[in-house]
Amino acid sequence: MVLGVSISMSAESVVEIRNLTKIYRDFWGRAKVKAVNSLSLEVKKGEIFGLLGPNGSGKTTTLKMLLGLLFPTEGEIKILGKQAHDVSKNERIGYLPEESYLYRFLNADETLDFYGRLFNMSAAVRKERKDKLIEMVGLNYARRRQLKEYSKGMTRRIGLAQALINDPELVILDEPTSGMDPLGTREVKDLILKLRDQGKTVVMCSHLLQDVQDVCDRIAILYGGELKVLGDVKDLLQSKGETQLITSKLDPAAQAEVEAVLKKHGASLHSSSSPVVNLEELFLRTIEESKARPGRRYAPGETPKV
Amino acid sequence: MPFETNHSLLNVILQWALILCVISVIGTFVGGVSSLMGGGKRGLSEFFGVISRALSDLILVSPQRIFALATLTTRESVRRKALWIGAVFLVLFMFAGWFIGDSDDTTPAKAYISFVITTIRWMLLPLAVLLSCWGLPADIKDRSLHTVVTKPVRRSEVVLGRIAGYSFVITAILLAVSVVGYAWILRVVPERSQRQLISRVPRFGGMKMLDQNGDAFAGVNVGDMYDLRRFIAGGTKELAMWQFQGLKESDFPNDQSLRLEYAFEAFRSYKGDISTQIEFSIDLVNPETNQRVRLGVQPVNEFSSEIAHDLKENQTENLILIPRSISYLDGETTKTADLFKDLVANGNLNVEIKCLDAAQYLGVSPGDLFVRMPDRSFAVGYWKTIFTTWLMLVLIITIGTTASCILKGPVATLTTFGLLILGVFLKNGLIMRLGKYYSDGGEVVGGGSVEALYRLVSGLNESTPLDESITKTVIETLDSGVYAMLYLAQYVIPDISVFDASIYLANGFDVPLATCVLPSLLITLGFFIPAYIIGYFGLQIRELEAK
Amino acid sequence: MNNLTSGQRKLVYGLGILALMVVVILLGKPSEGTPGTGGVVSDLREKYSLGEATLGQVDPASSTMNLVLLGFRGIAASILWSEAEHHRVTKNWSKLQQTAESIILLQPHFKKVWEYQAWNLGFNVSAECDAVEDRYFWVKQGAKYLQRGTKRNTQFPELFFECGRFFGQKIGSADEKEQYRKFFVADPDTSRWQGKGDGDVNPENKDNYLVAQDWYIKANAVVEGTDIEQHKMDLPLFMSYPYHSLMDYASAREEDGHFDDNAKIAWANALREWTTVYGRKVFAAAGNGVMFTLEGSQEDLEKLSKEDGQPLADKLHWQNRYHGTTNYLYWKLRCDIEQRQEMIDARRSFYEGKKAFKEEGDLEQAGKLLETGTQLLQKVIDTAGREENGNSILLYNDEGITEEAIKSLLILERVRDGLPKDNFPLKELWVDPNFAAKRAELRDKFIRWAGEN
Ligand SMILES: Nc1ncnc2c1ncn2[C@@H]1O[C@H](COP(=O)(O)OP(=O)(O)OP(=O)(O)O)[C@@H](O)[C@H]1O
Ligand SMILES: [Mg+2]
Repeated sequence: MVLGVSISMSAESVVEIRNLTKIYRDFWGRAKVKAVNSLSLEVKKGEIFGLLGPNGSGKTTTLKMLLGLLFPTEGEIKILGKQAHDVSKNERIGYLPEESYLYRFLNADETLDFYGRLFNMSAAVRKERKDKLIEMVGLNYARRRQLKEYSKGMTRRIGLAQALINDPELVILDEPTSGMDPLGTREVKDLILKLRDQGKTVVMCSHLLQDVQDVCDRIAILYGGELKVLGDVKDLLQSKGETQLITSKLDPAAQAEVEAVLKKHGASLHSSSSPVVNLEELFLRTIEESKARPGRRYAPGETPKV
Repeated sequence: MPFETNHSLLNVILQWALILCVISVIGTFVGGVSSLMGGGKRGLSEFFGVISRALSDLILVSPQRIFALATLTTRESVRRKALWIGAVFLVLFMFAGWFIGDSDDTTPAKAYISFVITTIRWMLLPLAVLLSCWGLPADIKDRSLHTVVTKPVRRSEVVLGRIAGYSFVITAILLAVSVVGYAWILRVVPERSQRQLISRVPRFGGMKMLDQNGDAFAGVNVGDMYDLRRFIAGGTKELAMWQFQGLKESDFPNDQSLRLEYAFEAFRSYKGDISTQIEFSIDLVNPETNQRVRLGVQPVNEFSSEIAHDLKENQTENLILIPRSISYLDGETTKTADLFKDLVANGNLNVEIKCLDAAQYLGVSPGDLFVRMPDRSFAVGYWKTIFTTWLMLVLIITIGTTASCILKGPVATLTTFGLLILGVFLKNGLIMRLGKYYSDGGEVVGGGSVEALYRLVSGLNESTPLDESITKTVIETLDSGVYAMLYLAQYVIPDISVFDASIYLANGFDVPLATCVLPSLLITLGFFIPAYIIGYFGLQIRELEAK
Repeated sequence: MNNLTSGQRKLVYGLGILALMVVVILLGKPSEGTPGTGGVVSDLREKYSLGEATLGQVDPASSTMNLVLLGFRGIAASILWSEAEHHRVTKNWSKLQQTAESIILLQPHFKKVWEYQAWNLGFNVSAECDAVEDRYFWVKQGAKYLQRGTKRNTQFPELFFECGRFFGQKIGSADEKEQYRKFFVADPDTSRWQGKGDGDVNPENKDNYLVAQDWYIKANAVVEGTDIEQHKMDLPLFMSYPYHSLMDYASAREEDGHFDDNAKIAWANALREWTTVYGRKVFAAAGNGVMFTLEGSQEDLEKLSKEDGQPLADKLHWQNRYHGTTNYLYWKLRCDIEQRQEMIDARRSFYEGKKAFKEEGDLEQAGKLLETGTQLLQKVIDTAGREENGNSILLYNDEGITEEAIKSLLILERVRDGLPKDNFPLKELWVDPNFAAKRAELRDKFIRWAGEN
């Protein structure tokens, strides 16, 4: 719990992105899509970082560049202190792709065993991890069935297990809850929080804003490949310039008195905070604003006005 | 038997290393320059980053990961069932073929042996191509490779794992069909041809032909298109002499006879007495003391060994037995000579052959007379043949996998097949043409492809010289460029025929290490290393994501 | 259809399949052997001889092969052809044979394949070997290949005919005929055939000419009474081969030195078959279809004329023409003459005289015998008759007798140091300019055979 909810600004960064740009080109080398545009980000050790944005805003592209699956057109990436193309960084990373790209002819057991081998794990360790993870993602009943028979949610679950096979320090999850049932979603959220409690860093993207609001410490919102919003979830959802009071139960007379007193000075407040907007509002507002004023980007130190 | 004599392995290896070095240097240079031009100083440093990463990736591979990937590949091949279709096809074909012809009990073993080996080769070859060319592209397309490369897997390990996995699969199949093939040969070869199931071990000697005056000459061509054998005239002093080396007494324990085996051709310039064969004499000559022993006279028995005769003791096996102590006629007196004491000098022995019938001819080639060392069993030769076949399949898998690292499945398949077809059918022709082109100083009748096209379009016949003009210079420059490219191409095309050991096995010979097994091994290795490097770069410098 | 339930739809499909199947079965039902018992399609197939089974023996390996090769049979066959040629040039005989086998797996009903490859083996390969036994082996391989061709293709008369040629001409008149004919009844592969001929080509251990006759008869049987045609020669000539084989047999026996009663019987046999079997066959003249027999007398032809309504004059004309083509009358005469004791004695004298000269070196005896022979032959020639211009019928129609006579004269000349200045038997052969070329040729041969004097 040392690295709990509040992170000091000096904590070491796990991911550092500077001026990252990705242009997809067609066969002839002509630019087709600018999927990510001058993106700069930092993810600190021990936090849960959420990457938000509408479809096609460049989230997956960003994650893939982090992993070295795509090569940046411009900009720099440092991940766990290494270059993105350095395979040794993968020792400490777990990745759940947007869709579970697994070998459909293997069963759950074989899948985890195979990925375990890729980490040069010994047979005993593999067996232990395998059993634990299958148990954790609740696939015990189907561990001998080939993945091609799995439902979408089951595939996500085995995908998640696969991402955790090496007990990674940094977990990158691309829409981890997509396709999961409500119970599964709950479990995934709990899992993510548990990972943070173990001191791991999580980078995830999701369209389920309530989930993001529930688990993420910090978020970034992308639109058209550009960073529009970045900050602590708590800060971002606070409406500055307003105060919200919650008091003990008051009778009408007292109420009037309190109001009178409040006019003069403050009294016993049970709670006083800014009214919290929910993430959905923030998200929609950001998108609308971006549409209205294209080209306007997030600048460090800025907090979006709500 | 038309077998090449030893070519220097060391030279071959050196040549290979040289080519590899030159190509790497050129590649590095071109890469460096282009990255310098593209990205300036930073580009250059990035380029060297790529190179140094490549070096560590290529060398520091993890056996366990390769094993995991190989196992996966094997599973994939087995579970995807493509393999089974291949296997069923194979079995079908073998059974269809195995009833070929009415089994006549004079059919020589050769027919069965080369049938089995050829079938195995040509059935497994496409299987190997298809197997190796489709796996990786499918893997990339399904993006299952993504998940793999986000683990600490080097792309070099992916290449090696694939090659190893496919090799394992093909090995299993090859073993299965070879065992069946072996059993089949033993069962089906007619009883009288069974003696041909053997691995003879020849020791060849250098051959010289001497004319009437004792000068070396090339022999006569009697009008055969097939210029393997050259002929010496009978009843003259013309002779063919074989110089054998390295004959050791210890190779023939227990006073075993030295066996000479021959396969000459006879050519009659007139019919003569058809019921008696053309004959030749055999003299053993000590190369140092010149002591000469006439061993006797033999009929040519031309092509007799092709036929499964009911043999009297070694009758048409064309064997000459030389006992340890030879009695011979010197003038009128009978003398004896000891083979190793009197005739073999420092392991060297000369054997001289003369044709006895006047105005008839005897055809000889260097491989036609050899010392037959103690025989080995058929199994030895058979499994060596299977081994070279295996090497060929591994080579194909290597090439196929490399191609599939760069190209999509269908294109990779076509490329690999193309390379193989070139390797099987065109390599020799290409080398011959190129040799002729360069030995003729770049002169070709009708010109190279560009000139030929020009002549075709302008309706100029091939013997009319082109006008001296700029056009001519351009055309000829282009053509010499084409030839230069072909010259390079000949090194890229594997010589598949080297792997075919069935020519030895079918003719009852052991598969020689120096001229077949070793070259096959070297070719496979020689292709494996550059293919591995190319495959690695194919995966490494490519965004697996972008399709 | 849209408002049918799925069950109803399945029922409709099922009925449709059933209906189609009934039609297919009715059309394609195989026949039970007799025409009309099969479906329409199989009847048609039979009528036009299109089925595998009607062409000859069906080979499952061959059918499978074609199946496996999908559509690439033609390409595969072409590759094999060039491979076969390569094996021939590089003298890889067993490979050549194996390739020929593979080719016929792909093209079992292609006549030329059988003919060409059989000749390749029996003539080209055979000639490459130096030992006569080995040559004979390859001749047999060629013959066996052809024999299998006839089994797979019962409707090619040419293949049967070629078989006859292999056993007749190839074995009987090759340079090695003396050995070949012996091998034919006593194979050099003694342990396999126990001193008998190769059972695959000569199961009844007969003379090669008699085996040849059997094949020629089979060839005739394919053409006779069917509308199958042969494309070798005029039909009457084609049909004469079995009967010529009998004559060849009779004369080959004598060449082997058998002058017993059977010699006469063999010739009598040949004559009988020539006149009563061959001579009675009804032929149609090429081009106009006038029917006639070769042996038929005027009355016979008249009778035939009444039957088919063609004028007698035409029949006589065409009979005459075909007598010329087939040399019918000469061979009839020849068979007759060969049976006469003088002729047999003449031949015996020649045979023994030659033997005395060459093997025993008894020149005196040789001279005597050959002289007797020439005298006897002269007598036979005179009785056999002459053409209008005085040419001997016997000498001008067949080289066999002429050659033997000239050879005898050559030996006689040698042992007697020249022939008499004035008259001597068979002098016409010695002086007639028509025989000058023959004499020169034989003289060369004789010198090589007997050595310079
Ligand atoms: N392989 C590709 N080739 C070309 N363009 C691509 C490729 N992959 C993604 N893009 C484009 O890049 C942009 C960003 O895509 P990306 O997948 O990163 O979006 P995303 O934010 O993950 O969207 P989603 O929420 O739908 O997952 C899109 O416009 C997309 O069309
Ligand atoms: Mg995405």
